[in-house]
Amino acid sequence: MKLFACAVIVVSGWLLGGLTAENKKESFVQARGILRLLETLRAEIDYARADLFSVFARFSDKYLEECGFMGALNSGAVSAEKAWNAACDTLSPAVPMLAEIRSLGGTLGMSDAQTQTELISKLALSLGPRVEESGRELRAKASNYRVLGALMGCMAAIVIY
Amino acid sequence: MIKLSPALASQIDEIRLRAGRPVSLTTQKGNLFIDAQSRVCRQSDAVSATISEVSECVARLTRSSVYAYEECIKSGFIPLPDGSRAGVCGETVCTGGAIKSVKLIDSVSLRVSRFIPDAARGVCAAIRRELLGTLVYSPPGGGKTTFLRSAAYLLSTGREALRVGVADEREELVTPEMSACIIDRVSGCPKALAVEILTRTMSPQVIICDEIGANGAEELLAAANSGVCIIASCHGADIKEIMSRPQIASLIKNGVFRRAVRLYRGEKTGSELQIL
Repeated sequence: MKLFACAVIVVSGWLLGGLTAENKKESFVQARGILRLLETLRAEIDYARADLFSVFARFSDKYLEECGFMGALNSGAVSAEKAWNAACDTLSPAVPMLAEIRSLGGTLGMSDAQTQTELISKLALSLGPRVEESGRELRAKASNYRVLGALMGCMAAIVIY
Repeated sequence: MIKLSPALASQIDEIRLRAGRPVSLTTQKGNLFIDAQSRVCRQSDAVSATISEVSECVARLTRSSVYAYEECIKSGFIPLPDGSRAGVCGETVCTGGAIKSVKLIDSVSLRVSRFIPDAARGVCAAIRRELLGTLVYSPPGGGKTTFLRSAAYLLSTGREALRVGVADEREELVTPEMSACIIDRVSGCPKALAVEILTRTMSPQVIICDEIGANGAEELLAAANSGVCIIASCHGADIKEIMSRPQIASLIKNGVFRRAVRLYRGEKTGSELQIL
């Protein structure tokens, strides 16, 4: 019975570590969503000259919807800049390059297609490696938290045993 | 924000906003000016639009996506979803004699779209009896687009509906009211290309296009020689004036247009069918 309880404590510690890492995931998944949105915008503008609000309405991302970003974009604002700024306010402050993401709003819909796609591509190109790096950090952190949780579980189990 | 009375609103053909200059309304009675209380006034008392108001208007018209209307803006208009359009002009950037971009839009002309299904009824009856090319003409603002919309609607509906192709360069000939019509539309590209696509791929019985000029005469002739009836419009007060334009004169001489319809607005309202 004691052995079983010890095993439960170790597993719980491991799971608790995983859960702590999960909380750190928010900024990463939001940044990944923004990157996907930027890539969709670039492609839609380049290929179909689709207007911004129709792209925003069609785009779907679970995490950007959860944080309210997509809701703010599709709130019916007249100006894309205002909608984008309101949407950026819903993002986690830990999202990488948040200031640069926010500043894109000032240029949205105000220039020709080539300039617009170049501006979006430039941001996407800078954000891409940061998101990747953030993903790597997150995976390393998750693994560390789990190991730490399991170790603490082990120590608690030894004490109890 | 100015709120117009329903009586005044029903007379308006265009609303013109100009940055730093008076807002004017185009009606059949002439250009009217309004003051801040939405009353018709003298030009000196008229309300003016600011550059930020004109910019906001452009943002609304383009749904905050200027790039999506880049080519149209270079041609001086923004098409709207209901088939109407806004004319725009301002400071341009030119290279090699062509407009590269419009860096500042400071004048907007909001054209009030009208769909009058019966505007071309008499002429359409004649077209149905004999499919002959028809040239619709009048001075600017004479109702040519309204007439062509009606023709597209009347010819493509009913028991004897014809396959109508619409070369809709300025995206204003097909309106939401035409959802039941058998219309094939090529929009957003030059008329010449649209006529060629329609002729080659959609085998229309009638092709309708607006404002023919120097470009597209060759394609219209090719379409007419393929047995397609062409209904097109052009600016002009009389046939003599129209015949002074070589491309249109050549189309008439080559039999693309066998009939002409002169549209009248103002004191004498209606249309007059002429045999060319």
